[in-house]
Amino acid sequence: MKRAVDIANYIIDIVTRNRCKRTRYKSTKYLIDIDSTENKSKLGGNTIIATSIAALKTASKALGLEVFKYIAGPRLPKIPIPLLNIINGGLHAGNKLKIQEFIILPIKFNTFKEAFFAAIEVYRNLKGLISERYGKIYTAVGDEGGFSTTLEETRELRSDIYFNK
Amino acid sequence: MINRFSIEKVKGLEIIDSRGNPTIRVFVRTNDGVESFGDAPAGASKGQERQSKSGMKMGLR
Repeated sequence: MKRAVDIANYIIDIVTRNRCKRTRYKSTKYLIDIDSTENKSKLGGNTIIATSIAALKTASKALGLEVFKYIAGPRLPKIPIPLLNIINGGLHAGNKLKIQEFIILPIKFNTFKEAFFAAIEVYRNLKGLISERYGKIYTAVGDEGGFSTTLEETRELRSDIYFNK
Repeated sequence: MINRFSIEKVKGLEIIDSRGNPTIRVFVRTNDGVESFGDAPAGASKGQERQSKSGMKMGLR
């Protein structure tokens, strides 16, 4: 990480000096162009994303806008649909599931609140189901807050989620 | 183009993320002194297609 910090202090500082960053996309694009590699190996993904976020927040602050308003521009911002990560596998859990995140989409609800409560209900029911069927220990959660079950097969799990409906 | 919205200074420092791993925070300041920062988020996994973590070919020590 020392290297990433050095890159920000000695390279990005110099190349971005006096560049206007009113549009975040332009400043990020600029860094990507400077880097010029396929996978951003020269400046590094961490340095670029941190600089990009900083430029975005600074630009919004300079204009006296909330970040979401700055991003939305003249469009009317809409509240997003909350997606819940209910089961964790892959590198986010110590189990054998190959799929890393099982996410539910509460669609066709009128408000954020309704959608969110519906998703929570599914999550809670699933917890009860896992606890009942496999034991409470298997309701431990993975990195993203989804249950990290003992199930090995994605197929088994899918039927559990559907059953839970 | 130099104006008050232009970047005057970019400064990076190492921080520790919520997993206890080191990551980077970058401050950006404009000519009229407005400043904010961004942190590089961490993830447990890194896909093959994803970006490399820190520059390896820059020759910086």
